[in-house]
Amino acid sequence: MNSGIKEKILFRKLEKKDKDAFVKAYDYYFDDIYRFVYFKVGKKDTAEDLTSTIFLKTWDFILNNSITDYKTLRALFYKIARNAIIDYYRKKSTQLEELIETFDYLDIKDESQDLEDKIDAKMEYEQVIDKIGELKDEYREILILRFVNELSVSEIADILEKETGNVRVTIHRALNALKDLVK
Amino acid sequence: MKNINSQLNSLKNIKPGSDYKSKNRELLLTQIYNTADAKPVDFSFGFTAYFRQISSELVNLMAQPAMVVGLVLISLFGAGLFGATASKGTKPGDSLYVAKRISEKTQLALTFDEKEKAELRIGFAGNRVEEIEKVLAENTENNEETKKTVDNLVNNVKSEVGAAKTGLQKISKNANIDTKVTEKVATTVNKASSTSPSGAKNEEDEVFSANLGKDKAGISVAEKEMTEVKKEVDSKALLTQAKESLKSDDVANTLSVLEKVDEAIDKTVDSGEVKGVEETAAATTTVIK
Repeated sequence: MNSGIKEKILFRKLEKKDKDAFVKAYDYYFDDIYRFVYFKVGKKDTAEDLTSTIFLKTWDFILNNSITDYKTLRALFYKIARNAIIDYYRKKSTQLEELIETFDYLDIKDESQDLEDKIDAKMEYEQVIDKIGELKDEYREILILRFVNELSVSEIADILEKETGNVRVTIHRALNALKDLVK
Repeated sequence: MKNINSQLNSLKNIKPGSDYKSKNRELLLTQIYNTADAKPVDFSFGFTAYFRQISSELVNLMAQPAMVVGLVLISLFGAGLFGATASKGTKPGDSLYVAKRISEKTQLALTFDEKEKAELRIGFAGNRVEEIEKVLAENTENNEETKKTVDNLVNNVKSEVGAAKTGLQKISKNANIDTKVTEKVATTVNKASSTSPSGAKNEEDEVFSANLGKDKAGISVAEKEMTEVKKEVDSKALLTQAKESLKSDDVANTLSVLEKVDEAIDKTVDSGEVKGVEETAAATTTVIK
């Protein structure tokens, strides 16, 4: 089944507070939301706690509100995630001190690559990871949404409550900023 | 430096630990199943939900401007096509007959090549002959109304063939084809046009008795009406031949074949006897082969 239609069916079911549908939505969006949070907070444990909270908050929201105003289910999750992260920083009253940790995510699966290539690739990716942490939050967020979690520009505009033109400009600037850092 | 977009995309590899994910899932399940239902859950999902979603997607899709223009075009041309197909076998008096005539007129209006126009006109003349055949077959009593309808159709055949003739003359003039030969073609077509249901009086009716595939029994039918019907069928065959010849690229050869057909037809007209038809048929077949 087409993923767009699948998502819309889930959304319709959740409008009727369907618990099973919410469990499916959990399986569907958990990784993306976790990744989004992770790049916002930069800590694995914090990201895990926050992601769990976000899903509970979303269920609570669905139970007590009408979700028909939201364009997509994904937009709803991201909006709640953003608010939860804002709350988290507000409580901590700190800025993002510790940025992205050392990642061990990189597992180059291409067996055909020789060692030299693998090392080059790893160095390049690590460089991107390090540098993305140096970007300002607005840029990092938009790059993750667009290029990692692959949301459309209109979805991002909906989540960030901005115009699509504005989102495009920010994406462009964020990419240039990252390129400058990586050079 | 590789493409930065693809490098960013590789960050997808960052995922929550599977242990944490499954534990958290259990916890979430416990919590959400312990919450009271705000509203009774409607379990009527499955196919209906999918169908509802698909239909709403379809409506959204159709609301797009490009789609709307597309649908309008399809309905315009589609209606023309279906109308033309549905009205194909109609005869005067049928409800869809008007559609058939309109469709023919539209086809003519949309054709600019003289040769194609002539082909179309010969085809339409064939249609009229077919209609005469049908009208006569259904109205065995020779009443005024039938006669009037048939007369009208015959006039139509004449005008169509006349127009085709004019078109052909124009083509031959342009292509510097021997005018004489063209005249012969035109005469052949013209003769086809003068077919009439009151054909006994009309010598040229016999021309269309040049039956190419009919058996003897068909030719020797004594009853007048039946003979007339038969003649119309034959003229139809001739018109088809004229059309096919026109389609051929070898114009000169086609014209000479038609000339011979014309001569064979003239012979039949001279003999004026039904018996002579068979010979003509044989002659015509040989020539055409």
